Amino acid sequence: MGFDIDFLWTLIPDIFVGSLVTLAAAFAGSVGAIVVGLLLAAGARSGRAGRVVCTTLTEAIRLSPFLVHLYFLYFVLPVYGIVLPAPLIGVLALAVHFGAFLGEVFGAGIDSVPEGQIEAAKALSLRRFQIIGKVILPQMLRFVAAPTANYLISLLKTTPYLAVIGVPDMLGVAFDKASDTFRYVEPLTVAGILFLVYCTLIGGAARMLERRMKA
Amino acid sequence: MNFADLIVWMLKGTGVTLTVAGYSLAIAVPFALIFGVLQFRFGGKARFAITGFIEFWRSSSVIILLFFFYYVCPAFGLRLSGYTVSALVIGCNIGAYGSQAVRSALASLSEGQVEAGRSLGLTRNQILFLVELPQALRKIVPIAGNETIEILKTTANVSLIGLADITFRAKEAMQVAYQPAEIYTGLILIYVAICLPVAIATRRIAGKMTAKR
Repeated sequence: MGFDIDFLWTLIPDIFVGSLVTLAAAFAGSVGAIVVGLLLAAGARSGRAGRVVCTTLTEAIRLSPFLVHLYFLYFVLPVYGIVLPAPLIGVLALAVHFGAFLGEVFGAGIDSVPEGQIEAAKALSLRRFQIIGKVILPQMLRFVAAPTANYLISLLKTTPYLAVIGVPDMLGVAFDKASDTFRYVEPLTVAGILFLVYCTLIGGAARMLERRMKA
Repeated sequence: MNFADLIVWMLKGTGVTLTVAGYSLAIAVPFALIFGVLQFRFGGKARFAITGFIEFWRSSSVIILLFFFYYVCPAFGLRLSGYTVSALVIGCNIGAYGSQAVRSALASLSEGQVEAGRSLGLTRNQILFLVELPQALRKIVPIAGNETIEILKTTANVSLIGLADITFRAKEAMQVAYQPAEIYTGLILIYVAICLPVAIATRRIAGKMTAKR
């Protein structure tokens, strides 16, 4: 078979378009994961029932593979009459899976704010949402920034799995090209290299941001 | 099929899942130790090369590498079995993560440890292996546990390159009996049942170690 460099060049435009789908899905998944994470962290800290439900859910998600969650949402939701397009299911799976991990991070962040801070805020007669928004969140943010960035990078690296349920992301496009031409080498090489470039760039940006926040 | 039959069907893949996990672990542990120590120990150009190698494995996606090695290597005459490719990719990926834990644990030790070693007349390597590493390894117990769980979960990917693990069996069951709710709920429960003991054991060991000090 060997390596056909001319064929490789013809693949780049389509796979690049696919990579934009990957980035968009990763972005939407990140926003969703942060929302899910905050909900789980808050839920686990509000009453006994909330704690049991949220921690059980978190543990079950953390201890099973992303691929299985993806299949679960893809095959099980339609049974209950919920038919969603594949990209949306992919984003949902990313949000739920990484939301569970972020929930732990956010929870630790909330617990890292000293009790005295909340008492002081109460003594100043701040309202509940003022305490959350002006006292807890800003202090928590500094604590959770680095681990959150790590999980979001890991989310980006998980996004190619969406190809498994037929989302035309970079890996999906690469596989389409491969099955059209029976040549796997070039499409997968392009997808692999492009992905490495994205991850390195975004990882580097995150590290720079972290350094700036520390300074 | 009823729920119990489905579970039994899927559990037939446990052997493959655990075998892949075992092979991966056998690659990940030495990878993490060797490259973590090398990255800590060397400076300059050597460190640059080591960091580059680690970053390659850390920055790529397991699923892309899995497909890449499985489909691309044969084109260059290198035929690797599904087991080899899986163990290689999962092992190196998780090993690269682990190497960062080893490195940062080594870096977090106080300077006084090295100075004390030096004043006892130990060589730099003796300090590394007799003073620094034993303390660092203690610190990474919880991370090692988490990475083991991560390996167990990542093995689900091998179903995509045709190894008949638990996830593969679930897809088979889907073809025999289309009962997605039962099958995939059962699949999640099986993975939780496999990983939970590791999680609990890790928490216990980590707790004991901190209590001792």
